[in-house]
Amino acid sequence: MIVAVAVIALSFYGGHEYFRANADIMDLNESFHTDAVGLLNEFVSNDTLATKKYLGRIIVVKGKLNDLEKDEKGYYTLVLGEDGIMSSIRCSMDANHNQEASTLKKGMFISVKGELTGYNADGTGLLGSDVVLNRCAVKNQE
Amino acid sequence: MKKFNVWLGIFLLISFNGLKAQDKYFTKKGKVYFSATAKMEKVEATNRAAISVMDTKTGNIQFAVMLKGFEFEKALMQEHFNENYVESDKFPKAEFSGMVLNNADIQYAKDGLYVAKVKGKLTLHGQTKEVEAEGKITVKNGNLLLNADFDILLSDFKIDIPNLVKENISNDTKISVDCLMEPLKG
Repeated sequence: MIVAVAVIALSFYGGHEYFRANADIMDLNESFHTDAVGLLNEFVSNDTLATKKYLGRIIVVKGKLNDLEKDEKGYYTLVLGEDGIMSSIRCSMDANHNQEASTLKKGMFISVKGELTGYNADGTGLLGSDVVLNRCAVKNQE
Repeated sequence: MKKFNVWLGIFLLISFNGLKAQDKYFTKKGKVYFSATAKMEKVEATNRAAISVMDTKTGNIQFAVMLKGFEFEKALMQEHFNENYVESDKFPKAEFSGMVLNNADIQYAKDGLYVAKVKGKLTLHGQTKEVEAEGKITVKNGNLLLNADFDILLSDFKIDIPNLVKENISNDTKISVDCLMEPLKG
């Protein structure tokens, strides 16, 4: 009887795990609160160390919305950074939170929550180096 | 008349430069689709933040994509992809560097759809292999749309599928690239 109950419980658990969708980003605890300029400087100074610290972590980054990009399929990318500097924090919006970006305007100071997925160092000097965040949601706007 | 000819010459020079194709194009919002669908399971993911640069003069093309940025429908699949298969903590990025082999056939200054034969080195999971694909370059309104499908074997990149899940995850994988590129200024 106990074995049968255990098997049923395990089956439910297994099924639940198998079909589990990704948790909403806003329900996940963030590991770091930082600002866009500070975060970028950490990566530019020592990207090995910064990658070890931040890669795969949920972070909240605050900064000036330098650009608001919308691709041909309607997905937004928020670009946080400073005027005149090509390097930036690029925040690709989560599908469930994408429409939050439609109310934003360039120049606003916002806080974005997302998963830090990597760093693209620019070897050409033409594109700027970018810290990349995915699954992003707008946490606050000023 | 002489003054008119000088101004006409300047006007034509400016107009000609305006009609010339740009040399370099880029995107930081390229789409990369990953599919390792097998008999028992649909294994698909999308990344919407690929970076790509192309030099239309030489046909050189490069793209890079963060592996943690691939979004799967199921959380467990995403976790296994990152932790067990591509080991994205150790190897955060996949990169391609190659050439459009028939670059001379593509008229970058003229709107149209062109077949592009792409060949180059793909680095994934710390392994680099030569890959090739027949893709398309669509020239429209001063931008380029690049589409290409690369068929790869995960085993070539030392990504092992355990026997237990061979019916769920295919070793034959398709990586599809869809990049709308704009001219790079500077």
